[in-house]
Amino acid sequence: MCLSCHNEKPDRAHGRDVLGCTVCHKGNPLAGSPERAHRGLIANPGELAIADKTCGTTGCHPGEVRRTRKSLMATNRGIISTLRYYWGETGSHHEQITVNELAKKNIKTPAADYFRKLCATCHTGMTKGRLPGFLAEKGGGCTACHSTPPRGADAAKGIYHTRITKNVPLHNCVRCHNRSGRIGLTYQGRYESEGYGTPYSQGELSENRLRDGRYFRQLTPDIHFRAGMACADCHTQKEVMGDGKDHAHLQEQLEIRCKTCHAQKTDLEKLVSLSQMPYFAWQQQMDQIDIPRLRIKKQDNSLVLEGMADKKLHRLAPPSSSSCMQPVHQRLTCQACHSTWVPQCYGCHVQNMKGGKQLDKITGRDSWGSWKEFKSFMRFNAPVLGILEEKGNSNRANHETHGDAGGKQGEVVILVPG
Amino acid sequence: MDPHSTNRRGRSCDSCHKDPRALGFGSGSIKYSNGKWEFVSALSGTPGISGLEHPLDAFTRIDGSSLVRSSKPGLRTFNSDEIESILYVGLCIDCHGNFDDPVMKNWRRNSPPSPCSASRIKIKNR
Repeated sequence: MCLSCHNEKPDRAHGRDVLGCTVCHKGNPLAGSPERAHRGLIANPGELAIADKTCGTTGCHPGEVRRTRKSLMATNRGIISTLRYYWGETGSHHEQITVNELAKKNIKTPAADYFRKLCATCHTGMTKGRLPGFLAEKGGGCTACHSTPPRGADAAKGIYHTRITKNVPLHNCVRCHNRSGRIGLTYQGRYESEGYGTPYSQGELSENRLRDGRYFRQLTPDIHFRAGMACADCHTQKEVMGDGKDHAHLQEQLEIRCKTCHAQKTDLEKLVSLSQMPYFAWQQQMDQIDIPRLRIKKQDNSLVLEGMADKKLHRLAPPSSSSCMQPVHQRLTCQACHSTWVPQCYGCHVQNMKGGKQLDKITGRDSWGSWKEFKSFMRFNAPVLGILEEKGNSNRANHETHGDAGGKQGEVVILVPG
Repeated sequence: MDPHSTNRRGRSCDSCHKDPRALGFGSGSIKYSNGKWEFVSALSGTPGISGLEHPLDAFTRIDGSSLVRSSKPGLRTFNSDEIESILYVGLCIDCHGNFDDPVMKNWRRNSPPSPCSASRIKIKNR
């Protein structure tokens, strides 16, 4: 009965002739009136709060939903832990407070309040459309990453259903990953500039503006972006959706390194075998598999990474034997040498105004105490270097260096305080 | 931290071994004379205004005393030994800046070669 009103056409795997509408959206397909048909309807089945009954139902994606709920993107555990540690509210860098626990517990500290007012918009557990303005685009559970707008031709035919995709496009990631380290912007060569709108264009303010109004200047993008690669081409499902464990920080959840792909051919062979394993077989064994599942395959006599969306083949070059493998540089991470620029805000500061009110993004209501970030003396520079010591970073898999020296004496890394 | 601004070509020897910004001192120049290193800031000519005696883009001083805290345990600015080791290489790379050069090939961190007289120069202002 749904189709008598809705001329929708989701992607092939979730097609109406495969699943029907109610497997995802519930409601009553046999009702004769819209009111009764829509009773119990779920507009966005991807929302994590109800995903057990929809995306995560038995026979669909229960494992993915279970792991995602524990992931850093759903819990914001890393942001909360880092904020509280950095602001001196806890001595532990590994607190396990999630955004849901913060909502339930009555934690009234400056870091907790700052998080509620400025950070809590960006987690996959946020109900899409709940917040005003551009913030309404944030969140949405599974669909925060796995949905794309309907194609233009479909929309012209009145087909508005979002398209569900496993090929997560870059802009879905950058919708959130555009602040703090600005990684999603830097990857595209976008440097968030000071807010003067310069350089002017035809006497007007620059047209290079982000969705939230910030200005940017176009610099050289990352080489992987120039090659047409999206975030999900490198960042595996286990990293992004989690491995089912309660990690406190992204680096504990990371399983890929530069040297994962940029390795000698013999080291890549095992990745080829894993990439050929059927998805469901891999999923059943993923807890026991400690190498990343990437789309690495053989082509002629070389190994290539296949682009997720465009199927483009990218040649995997090993590190230079003359410079990268030099003994004197064994403590250097790949990033220390190969990162060309990093955005820095040397004069940035935060102001707390106790007399003002601001929207608490967790409760959705205004509360006392407002926060404002100020930026000044922003620059893009060749990265400053420093040392990451073994202390507190004992996971050997995290090391980016080629030799053991990095592990024992500390690695030379890019230093971005804060 | 990976800023995601990767390029095929790595940074130059100079950009680490002769650039005060790479070591975290901020904008300025470095001098080596009478066996001692000195950093001259390009931005802090008037400390009376900001109250700071170091450039705003500094993370550490040339003696290795850090000016910043990190949000990650174990992450720190270079200490004085590391700073000296890195800068010392910078004295030699103008003439020996190639990994095939015997000086670099046989470089030992704990017993580097003595500086030649030609290297007793002011490292160029960046």
